[in-house]
Amino acid sequence: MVDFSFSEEEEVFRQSLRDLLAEILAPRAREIDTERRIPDDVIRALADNGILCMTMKPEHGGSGASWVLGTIAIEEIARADPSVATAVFVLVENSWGKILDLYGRDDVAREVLSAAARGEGFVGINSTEPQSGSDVAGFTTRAVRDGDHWVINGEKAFISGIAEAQRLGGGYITVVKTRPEAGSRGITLFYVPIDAPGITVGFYEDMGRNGLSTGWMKLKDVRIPDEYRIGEVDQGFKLAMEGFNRARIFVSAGCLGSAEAMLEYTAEYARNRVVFNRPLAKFEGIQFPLVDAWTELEATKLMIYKAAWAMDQYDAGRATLWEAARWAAMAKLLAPERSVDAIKEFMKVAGAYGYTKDSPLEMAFRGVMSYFVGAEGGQNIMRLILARELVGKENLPYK
Amino acid sequence: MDVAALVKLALDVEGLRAEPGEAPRVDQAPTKVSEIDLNAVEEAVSIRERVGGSVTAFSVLNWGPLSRRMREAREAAKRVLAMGADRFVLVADEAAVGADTGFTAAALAAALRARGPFDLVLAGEGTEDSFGGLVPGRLAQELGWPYVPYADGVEVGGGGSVRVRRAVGDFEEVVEVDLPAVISVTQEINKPRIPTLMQILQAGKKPLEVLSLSDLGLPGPGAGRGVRVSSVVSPRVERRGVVIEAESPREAAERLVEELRRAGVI
Ligand SMILES: Cc1cc2nc3c(=O)[nH]c(=O)nc-3n(C[C@H](O)[C@H](O)[C@H](O)COP(=O)(O)OP(=O)(O)OC[C@H]3O[C@@H](n4cnc5c(N)ncnc54)[C@H](O)[C@@H]3O)c2cc1C
Repeated sequence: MVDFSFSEEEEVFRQSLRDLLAEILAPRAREIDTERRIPDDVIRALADNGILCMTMKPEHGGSGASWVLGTIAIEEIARADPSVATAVFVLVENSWGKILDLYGRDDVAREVLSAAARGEGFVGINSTEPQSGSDVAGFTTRAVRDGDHWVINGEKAFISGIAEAQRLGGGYITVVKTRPEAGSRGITLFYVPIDAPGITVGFYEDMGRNGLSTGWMKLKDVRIPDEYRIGEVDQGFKLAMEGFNRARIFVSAGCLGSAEAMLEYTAEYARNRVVFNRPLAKFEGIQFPLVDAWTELEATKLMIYKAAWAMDQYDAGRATLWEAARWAAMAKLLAPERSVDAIKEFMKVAGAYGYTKDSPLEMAFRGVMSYFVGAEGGQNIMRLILARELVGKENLPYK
Repeated sequence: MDVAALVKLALDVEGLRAEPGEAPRVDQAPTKVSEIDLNAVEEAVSIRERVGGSVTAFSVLNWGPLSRRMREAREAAKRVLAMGADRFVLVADEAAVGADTGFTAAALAAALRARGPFDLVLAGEGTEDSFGGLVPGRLAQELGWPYVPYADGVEVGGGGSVRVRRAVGDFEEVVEVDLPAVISVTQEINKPRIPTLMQILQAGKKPLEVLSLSDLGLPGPGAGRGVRVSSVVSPRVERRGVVIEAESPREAAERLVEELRRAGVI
């Protein structure tokens, strides 16, 4: 039969991390939201405890942690900071950094990732463009070879962590066209340091995953040495897809963790709030939606950990990336929607209080909405990916 | 210095459920390392970091069913090893489940002798679930070693003794105790470290040894029940449901005090 238990190591990790986060992160969650910044000491504590870049190889500053351990970390971080800002900071590095870890040049990976692991840099993903989000191969940023360098021109949009990269150092795994006429077969990945000459940045005022910035980046004649190339020339699309699939599992865990924390919060609220002379929790009209949300979240959790397990199978050479990608897409299809639905229900239970900033519910809602609208791939894109398998590529409505 | 730390897998009292007037459902409650024992482990590890030597953690499994508790015990051991203990010795035997403190101390003494010698034994002043606080003292007696309870500071110098600080009422007492000795510590002594991911991953490579009572040459079932727990029930709590209505916080506070006086609480 299937064994659903976590290993001793995983349990000890979850418990130790929960203890740590109760001390260093949970009490700061509201501050992170209002100050719009993850405090340096929080980043340092996460670094000191081996959480940043934990999935990288030890020789690149990580711990070689499994995807299941990485997923536990993100779930727990989002429980402690339900705005998901801190979780996203960590998960972008842990997933996209892995692409540099696996396919980048060793010396570059060591330098960049070990700095990020110490909290002295941020490693993000530069994929989306103003004219290309879901259509990942439809972008226009271009790199042209010039001797042992590449010259990059273009613009990236809706990019997480730009202010953090400016503050801490670091850079972006950047998806560019090296052979525009070849579509997805003409894409290459580069590591682009945030301080490379020719980069200008700006920021969006978004709905409010406030603790982590979202911005844009214009690249004008940005010269990048060939050593910063990740993988082979023109072979980047596959690597980018791998990055998305890795990230989707963590993203789902972020939504889940936030919603789980809000479930506990709301159940407690319902026990304490007295209406019509009895606790709110006594009404079945209150109990039932909470229980439904709980069940939906547990089902989502099973899907997420199955995806994480599948990614570990892929990393161990026992499965193809596609086998992991299927579960990752299903997890990403479920988690943001179930979490948003659940938190909406919780806000109803908490009434006016849940609409105030004295309660964490509105902050969690703003946070998980970022994944509901599309970060790391829109919901319909998950459906497209899965439909391709279910009915076959020949039945896609277009190419 | 070779230090032994005693670690109890205690019932997680927060997970203990009971209907009023009924016994708590002990078999269904999870267990975890008793918090104060983590202070003992922390102290042992920091002594080793200061003066060298080794740290061995010892635990006798008191709660059953073993089929379930073994898994929890392995998790607990991993946490203690991740904190820095070098090895973990777990005495697990159906016959030791529910044993009283005398038997637990005898089993610990046998395990310590089998895996020793040790210079110092550190333990929490009591465990979260039963808070008897007897095991360290009874162990000292079994071993014939001196015992200092309730330490909130342990200073290891050179030579064959350690200085121990204890809070006694309004006073602070410093005693010097010859080694080998048993010392119980309070939660004030330190702040137990939370293991890092790397330490957790490395803990998997450290030895965890499981011993049965027969491995230790101790008597089997039936032994060690000098004290038997006859019943544990959760008290019936009755609410009076007094609602205090007042115009101002001041008036509310005054009425509350009045009510509490009337109830004989203050
Ligand atoms: C807070 C936040 C942070 C982000 N951080 C990053 C980052 O760090 N790096 C980065 O590269 N990107 C980032 N993104 C961008 C994210 O990857 C994109 O939002 C995502 O790829 C979707 O692209 P889009 O927003 O342009 O939506 P569009 O592509 O314009 O899609 C709009 C809607 O149409 C749906 N849709 C699209 N195509 C189809 C179709 N064929 N059939 C049916 N429905 C379709 C989509 O699901 C979506 O709901 C971030 C986004 C957010 C909100």
